Amino acid sequence: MPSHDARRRGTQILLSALLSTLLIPALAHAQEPDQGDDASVEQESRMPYWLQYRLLRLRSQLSARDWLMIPSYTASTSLTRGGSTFASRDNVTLNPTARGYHLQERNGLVSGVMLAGLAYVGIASAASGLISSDYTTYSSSYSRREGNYWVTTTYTWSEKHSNAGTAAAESLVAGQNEMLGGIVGYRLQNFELDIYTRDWLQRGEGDTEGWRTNFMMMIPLENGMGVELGYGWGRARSYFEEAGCVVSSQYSGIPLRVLAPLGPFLFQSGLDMNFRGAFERLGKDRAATFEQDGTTYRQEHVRPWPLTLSVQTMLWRLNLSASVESSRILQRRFGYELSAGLRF
Amino acid sequence: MKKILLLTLFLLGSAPALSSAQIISTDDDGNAQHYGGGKHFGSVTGTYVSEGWTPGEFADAEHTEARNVYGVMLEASALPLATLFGGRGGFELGTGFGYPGGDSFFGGFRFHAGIVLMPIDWRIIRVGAAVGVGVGGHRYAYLAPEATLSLGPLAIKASYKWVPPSTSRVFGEEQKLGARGYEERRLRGELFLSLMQYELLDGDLESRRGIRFYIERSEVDSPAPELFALENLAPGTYWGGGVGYAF
Repeated sequence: MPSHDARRRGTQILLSALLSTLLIPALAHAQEPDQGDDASVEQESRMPYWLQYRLLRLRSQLSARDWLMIPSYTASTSLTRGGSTFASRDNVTLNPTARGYHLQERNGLVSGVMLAGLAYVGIASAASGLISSDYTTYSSSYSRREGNYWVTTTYTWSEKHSNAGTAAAESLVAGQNEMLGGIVGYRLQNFELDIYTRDWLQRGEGDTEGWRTNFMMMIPLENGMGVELGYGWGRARSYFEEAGCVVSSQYSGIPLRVLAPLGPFLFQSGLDMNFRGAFERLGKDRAATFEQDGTTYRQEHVRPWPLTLSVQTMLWRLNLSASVESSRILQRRFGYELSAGLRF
Repeated sequence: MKKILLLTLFLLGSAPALSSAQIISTDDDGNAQHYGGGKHFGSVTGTYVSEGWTPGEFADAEHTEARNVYGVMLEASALPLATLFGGRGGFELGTGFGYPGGDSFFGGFRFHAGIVLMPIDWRIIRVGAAVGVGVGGHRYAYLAPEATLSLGPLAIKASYKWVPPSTSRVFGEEQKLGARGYEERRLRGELFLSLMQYELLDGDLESRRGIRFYIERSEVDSPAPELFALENLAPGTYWGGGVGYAF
């Protein structure tokens, strides 16, 4: 238990650090920046411009609402434990401890480019009905006698008829290009990458290996709130060496998030709607066993729909988050995830 | 103590309503270049690596021959995003081809794409890192920290590229999670000489033409050494270099 003095000294150090973030850069700015045509800056304010600027900037750096609007990068390390997390099985004895890293790019470029690429593929296949190409096949055959046999030779050829290049097709392509440009240029986006490792910080810790990524666009609502939707996929495998078992988790689907910023806190609820296996055959991903480094494991397959409730806080460059996660809410099984990292 | 706290809260609360977008636009000096200490957008480079080739099914030192791989790489990188902490973010892309292709680790088709983050952009020093994925010899994900020092028309850059073996997938090996591939550690020193200035996009952007030299040391290893037979590569340390045109 630290003494009263020590706690007081700690608070003083924290506060001085906070204040010095205002003052040190301010002293470096000996020359006042050009106020330009920033109409909203109060010219008659007694506070010097550099101080106003630093304060505003610090306020933005502490605000979750601004975080949703401005380009930003977060790199953190995470710990996921308890039951019913992304790469776990219903059996309580098979609860992995997943350790890993989390990278987030908010309002950047990756999600826009990736979703535009997916939209391009989607539109191209949907539009193939409109931009039609038909083949008409012709054939002709003749027979001739060679010795004791009749030999029949058939020639087949086809001709392509297409409406590509017509006005209707041109307008479709133009509309498509405009839409793709819109997706790439849309500024409110979010890219998340979770990496799970069994060798966390090269300490050999963690039961889960794999990754999960989500590419999302945010639709802003009232009061700084937002809804995020997009596409994501991932796979992870949890190892239980004593039980001789691995749990293999696959995800491919639509992430849905509801975001509510409040001061430095961001409250978030999320559901990763997992359609992996719904539209395609899983083939070898269903194998009953898995072999690695000479050990054969019994393999269990899961395709979870994790529901997450989380709170994330931005303390200047520090980013902390805590969440409760459940892939099997009806069975009332819950896991938790903690992460800590830095914002850039 | 309470007074200091109250004063801080008062100062924070009394600041006028300048929008976040204005803060960013004030900070953003429009310098989106990334190459060569922030003077170029990309480069076309002729590359050379001396690799250890093991013909046939061998993957050991006895059967290793030195073989020269020549190639061309087109690289581009920009940092158009300014963050709230004075850093910059963006992307990098690269594609190229090395000869001989096919059974060469450093040859064949090569491509990489990644996110670049530059948290420190302070006068003549830029420090950042890239995270991305690539193809070339194997399929992989990489982490690449870098630092650049700009001295007038000269820029000196040092970068380190690390491919963890758990993210590497070797061609010819069944792709499965938990599998191990190659581990690649590449240390590269680069020198840029920036010369003529030119305009892009009707004068919206400015960049410089210049010359780029680099020298690199690649170390290739694997926790599963039998995989080296698939690429006819001997594990080891290989030197390479290149000279190119930066734009």
